[in-house]
Amino acid sequence: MKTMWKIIWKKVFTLGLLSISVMSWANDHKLTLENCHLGEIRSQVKCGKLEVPENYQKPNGDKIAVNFAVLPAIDDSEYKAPLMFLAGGPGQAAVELATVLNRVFSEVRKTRDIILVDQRGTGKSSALSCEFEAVDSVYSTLSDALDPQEVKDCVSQFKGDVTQYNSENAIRDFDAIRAALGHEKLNIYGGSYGTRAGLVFMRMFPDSLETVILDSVGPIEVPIGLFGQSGARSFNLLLENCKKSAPCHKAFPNLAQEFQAVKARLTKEPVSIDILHPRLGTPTKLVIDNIKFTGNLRFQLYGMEGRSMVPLVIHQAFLGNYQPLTGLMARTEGEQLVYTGLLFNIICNEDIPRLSVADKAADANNNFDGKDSHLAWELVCPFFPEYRPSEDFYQSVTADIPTLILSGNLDPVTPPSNGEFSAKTLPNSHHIIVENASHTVAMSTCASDIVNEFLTSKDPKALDESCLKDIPQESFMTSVNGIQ
Amino acid sequence: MIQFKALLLKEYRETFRDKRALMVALGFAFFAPIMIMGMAKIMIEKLVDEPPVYVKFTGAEFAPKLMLHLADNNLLNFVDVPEDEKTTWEKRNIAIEIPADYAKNMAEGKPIKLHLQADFTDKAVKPPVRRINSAIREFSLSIGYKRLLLRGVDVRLLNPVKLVEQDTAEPNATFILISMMLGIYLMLAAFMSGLSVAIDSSAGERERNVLEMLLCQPVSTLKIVLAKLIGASTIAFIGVVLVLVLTSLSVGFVDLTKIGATFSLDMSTAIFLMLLLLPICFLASACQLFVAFQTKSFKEAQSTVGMLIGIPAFIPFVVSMMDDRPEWLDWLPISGQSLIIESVFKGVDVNWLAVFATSGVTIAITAALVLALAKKLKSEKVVMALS
Amino acid sequence: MIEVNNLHKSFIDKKDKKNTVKALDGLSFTAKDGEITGILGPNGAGKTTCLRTLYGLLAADEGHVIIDGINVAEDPLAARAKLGIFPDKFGLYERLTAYEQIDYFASIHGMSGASKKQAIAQVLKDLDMEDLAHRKTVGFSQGQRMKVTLAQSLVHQPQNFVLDEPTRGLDVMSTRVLRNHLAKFKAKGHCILFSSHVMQEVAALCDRVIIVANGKLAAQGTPQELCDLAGEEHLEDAFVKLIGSDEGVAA
Repeated sequence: MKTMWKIIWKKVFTLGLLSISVMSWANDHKLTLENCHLGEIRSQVKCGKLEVPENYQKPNGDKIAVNFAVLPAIDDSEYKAPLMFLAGGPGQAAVELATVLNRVFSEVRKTRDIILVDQRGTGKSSALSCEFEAVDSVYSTLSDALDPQEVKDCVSQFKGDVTQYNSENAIRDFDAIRAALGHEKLNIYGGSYGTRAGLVFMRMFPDSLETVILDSVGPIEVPIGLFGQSGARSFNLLLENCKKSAPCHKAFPNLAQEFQAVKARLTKEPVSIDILHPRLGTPTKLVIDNIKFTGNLRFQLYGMEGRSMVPLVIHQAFLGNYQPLTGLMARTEGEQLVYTGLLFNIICNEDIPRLSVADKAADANNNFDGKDSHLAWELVCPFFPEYRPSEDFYQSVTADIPTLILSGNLDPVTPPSNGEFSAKTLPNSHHIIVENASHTVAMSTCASDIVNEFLTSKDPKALDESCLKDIPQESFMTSVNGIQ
Repeated sequence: MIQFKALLLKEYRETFRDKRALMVALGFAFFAPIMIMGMAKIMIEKLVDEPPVYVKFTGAEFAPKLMLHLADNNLLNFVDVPEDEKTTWEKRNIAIEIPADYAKNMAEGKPIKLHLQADFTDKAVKPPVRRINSAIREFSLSIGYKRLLLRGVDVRLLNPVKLVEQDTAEPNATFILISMMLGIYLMLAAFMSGLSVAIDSSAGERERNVLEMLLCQPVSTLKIVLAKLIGASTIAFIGVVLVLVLTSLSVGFVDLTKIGATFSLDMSTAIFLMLLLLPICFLASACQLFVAFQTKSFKEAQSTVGMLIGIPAFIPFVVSMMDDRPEWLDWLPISGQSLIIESVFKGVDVNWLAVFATSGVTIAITAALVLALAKKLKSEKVVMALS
Repeated sequence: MIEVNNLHKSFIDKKDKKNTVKALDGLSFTAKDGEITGILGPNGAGKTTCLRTLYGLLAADEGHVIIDGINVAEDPLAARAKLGIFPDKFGLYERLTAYEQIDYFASIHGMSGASKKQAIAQVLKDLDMEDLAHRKTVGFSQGQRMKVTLAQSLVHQPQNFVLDEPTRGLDVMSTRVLRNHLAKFKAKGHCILFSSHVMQEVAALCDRVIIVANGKLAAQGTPQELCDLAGEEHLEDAFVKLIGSDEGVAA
């Protein structure tokens, strides 16, 4: 009884506080917040915009409106610090991921607001977008067919000062939204590039953070952009796992050789065949070279479902059947996954300049896709306006905030070794490596429950990790008709 | 004033001293939250929880992947049933037969038929069968998708049209069955809690020959009626408060968030609801006194007034079921309040005009009843019925 | 003083006009202060109707009742304030103590504070029921109930005291208590109206007897006068003779 009244009073009190602070911010910072529908979420959520300076050094200069959404806690009878989701990419728009995140963080949302912010340059926050990919030619064009003029044209159509669309300003926006919504503290979940953003957040505004979850880490110490070694590692694990699995090994006894054979064949001469457009059903051309082949396979390595099809796709390609590969390409055809303008703007300025020739050579020395993953940077980066982050930006982050670090062992871009960097420098952290998972483990495994537990306990070292043991070994499709 | 105080004091004394009758009167209020919680719990179990289901498979060995998929959905093989659940699942006797040529037909892309046998008239069988059905459909679809994908087809073609439902209820709406039930329970509490007190202090006193004595005293019948009204409606109001307090206490024992709902009563809402229902308590007691005084005996009063209880249960129910609600429902007692309670739980802005209107009408009707009753107590008919 | 003047009262059956009952048919009498006046009458003679009209519960078709100069029909509350009523059935609030019950009626008569307390203490003492005072009345014997009822009707020291069949169901001891109290009351100059059909009691107690039959005054006078009037030795015989039939006795 006593606690109930306490809760009620607390609630009345916090409600009062909240509405007051919202009001004051609404006046000063042009915060808007209204009910809306997002994605496929059935219930109404809240959509907002906050006007922030484009350049924080010039608070009275140009403004940009940062778009965000709040998935309100289902049970708000007791206030708990919300969870802010920091999207990956860079260039993913968090608000666009609302449907998935609402599902993944359903446990968290039971008692906490979930805040999704379109990082400046993505989504509805002054997006920097380039239509590099001709919509209907994903099957017939090759990756190196990108025309420099296209890049130039795209960059020139960006409005505003693109150099302000950097990670540090994005974090300033995030913290401004925290304050505008009246939260003293936030929990943040960063996935992929979102971990980089999260680390910057920890350095810039440690007092705003209650806990941090870094899932599939892109630490400051490891420049983003070199995926040759990590991709090869992930691919080789797949080959090993296939060999260890009796049905897979039986179906594809020479998988590694077959892969190299297809690659060699395509390097020599791209394949060009007539197919029916997977979506339109009309005749079209499929042109595949080795870069497109490995690039598409690399993309499958990010998730367990894609990985399960890789051996079959390789084997069929080896047999001259590119239908399975076409089907994989069709899965994301025509969908904008990231806002490429922001992606290149950040990577080209914050990470690529730190790479030495030796770094690149070492990364290219792999048996999966060589230096193919560097190609995009080399083609695009020269055309992006330059900025350089502060020296602080590259310092290891050492904030004493409870931090849960997650890595998927099979991850093709942010291998567990990345997580180790952050685990070492963050004093109150714990690194969980999930054996049978790939990129962003909380999105696809029970690690989301561990995240929920961590948000409550705030003790990264004493979490119940047992459910991760139940994640099965990766298994593979062995026939185009499915198995048993 | 001395008279009125004495009258009221006597009503309270009599009411609160009769501990057993009081417990019976408030028993409803005590049980309401328990019922609400119980029903919510059952509902959650039905909607969300996926307790293990044990199925008698034959040919499980032919489809290991399917078995894994089913196990992921907590649909397990009967051979693994724990001892304490064995008889239950033996009785439900759900059997699935997997053909021996499952693997062969799968590889050749031929359709495979699994046969599920169960007694479909058994209610307990339905939810497990529904779950098995959807798990197998899901499994089948995922294989179908992959088959097409591996044939170079864009699998998005399989979903040409998708309906996205957008619920326009407030984001923090908590209006689900529990709130509706609570609304009805609050009404019922207002009507039921004071019931026995109202009958006892009217028909009961007449039967015990104390009413005539009172009517012969130099005190106006209006005062008598008011004292009895306040006495009975106090108990009714205590019933309402009890329902509110106990519900918000007991709601913590059920995880409503599982069904995407929450229920919390903050202080201001609770106080608002109490104020809203206060006139209803008076109306309820006034109706009961009015009817009870007209009856010829205590027994008749009990049965007649008992029928009055149907109204508060009936009205909110009908109102909540109505699709097109005529505006005048906002103004009437009971229906008006239940609509307002509904919007309170929905988180919709309360229509204050309706609040004042319905409260006003309720109070007016109560006052009319009281005046009519006071007049009636002076009538010969009542006097003649005294003995 | 209670003056009953030419009371007429009919109960009309709305469905069947022929079934109309004439309960009072011009009844008149006066109960004086310092006297015990008995109303005698067979069942259905109109005694209860008369008393109810006197309490102001029923309105007379014609005629009026005046209590200490107050017309009951015009100001029933003021008239009732002058009355102490002892009903024929001792209904008690069983969840109240005797004290609370008496207190309740005292308050209804507008008493409060120290004077009320004193009045209650006095009436408890007069009736020798201090030991009963703080017990709940449930389970009281008939005699104890009578005492409580008597106390509640007398606590405000009414000028006029009306008793309706007071001794019904009482044992000898209780009847004696009641009689003694009435005698004391009479001695103080109060007006006592007493309805009964027990002849001995009326004969023993009443200064004047009013015989009512068919809603009319059949005869009045001291018990002795009535006996003389009828030429009978016993009041009972006189009564039968005076009401003109043996209907009352038989009923």
